[in-house]
Amino acid sequence: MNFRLILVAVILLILQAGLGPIITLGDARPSFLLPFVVYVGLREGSLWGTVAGFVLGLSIDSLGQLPLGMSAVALSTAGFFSARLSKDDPFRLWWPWTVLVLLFAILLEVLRMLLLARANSLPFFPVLFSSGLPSAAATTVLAILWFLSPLHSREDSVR
Amino acid sequence: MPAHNRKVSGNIEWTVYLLCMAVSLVLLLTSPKPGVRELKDSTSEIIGVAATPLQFVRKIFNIWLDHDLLRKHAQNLSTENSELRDALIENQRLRGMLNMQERLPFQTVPASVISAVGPALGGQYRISTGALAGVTINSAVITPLGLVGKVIETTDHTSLVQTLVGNSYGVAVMLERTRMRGILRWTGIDRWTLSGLPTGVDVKPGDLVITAGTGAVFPKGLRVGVVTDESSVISTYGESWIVQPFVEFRSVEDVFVIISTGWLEPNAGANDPQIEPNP
Repeated sequence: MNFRLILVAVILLILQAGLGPIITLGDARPSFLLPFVVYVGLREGSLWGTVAGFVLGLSIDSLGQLPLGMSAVALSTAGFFSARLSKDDPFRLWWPWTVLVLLFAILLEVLRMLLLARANSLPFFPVLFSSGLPSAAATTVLAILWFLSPLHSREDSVR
Repeated sequence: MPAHNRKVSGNIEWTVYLLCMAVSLVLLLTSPKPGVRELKDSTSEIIGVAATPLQFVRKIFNIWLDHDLLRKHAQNLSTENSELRDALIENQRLRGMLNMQERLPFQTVPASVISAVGPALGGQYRISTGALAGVTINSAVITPLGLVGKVIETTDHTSLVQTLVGNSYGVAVMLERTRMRGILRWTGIDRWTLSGLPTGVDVKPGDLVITAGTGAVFPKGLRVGVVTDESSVISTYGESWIVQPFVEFRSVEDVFVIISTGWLEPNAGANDPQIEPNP
């Protein structure tokens, strides 16, 4: 894991903690960290993907309103399994990357909505469909933008 | 990367992942923030649903164990029930004997049947009381149901009883209703006949046959049996009637031996002519 990635992680963490509550599309709140963790998992492997997810998850939990450990569970899982599930150069095409991010975004939102629904005595599925899945979709859109942005370089595919 | 190194690397990755998950879950489930308690409940519910098949298997296993346990329990209860049934029967028999002993005007000693020999095991009994208890030869032996027989041999502690089965002696009896006297004899397997009654005597089925007390062996009034048929038969002893004794000689377990009839003269009638034995 190089310095550039650490720097990007810190920037994204600040963005998520500072702008996350502000940047909303309706009830959808995209996660900046999830695409990054999936990216690290794909680029650096399961070990670093897990560590990145764990550290960033704990950090954002401690800065936000969510219970400590909830984002760490989701992001660690995303970092670990993104490397395990991907086959044959996931950076070359946009859709494997997008599918992976969508999958883990849904996992993260299910956990988050489960907690939210339980804490506020709300029905789970309406909350998931009204807020969780749109958030997952927004996160996936961010991931696609990441794929198209200069932060994602095609050289990454040559490992 | 060599296969071995790849395997070690995979193990490390899994270890780190599981470690991170464990730490995260511990932090999550111990968090004081709202919703965590509910999340725990949800987790418990999810785990409960996931564990339902295991619970089903465990329940079946428990049913199996319970089945074995209950089967053993049922076997024990069956044995215990059998013992209780035996005890009940014995209790009823002993109560009957106790009542009889209190009711009888004779002095008796109780005894148990030790062994049985003779016609289909109802012919002769060895009983658990003897001369030291006052039992003498010709002592009458009875049960609450009726007359069994008489003692034909004694030792200090045991006696040999000849029952009405296969007996070589006749019993002086009389019909309770008409007071007519006669002789009861064993004339074959499960067959007893009453003979010696006058011609034209009034005999009806169900007439009670009791001891007449005229033979100096059996006291008067002991129940013996009933006449089973109105019509008479012709036997070696002339006109006879079939009598069914009250005692089932094959199943006697406990008896009383009459050691004193209470007669003023115990030897009265001892020299009277005895009823002739069966040829």
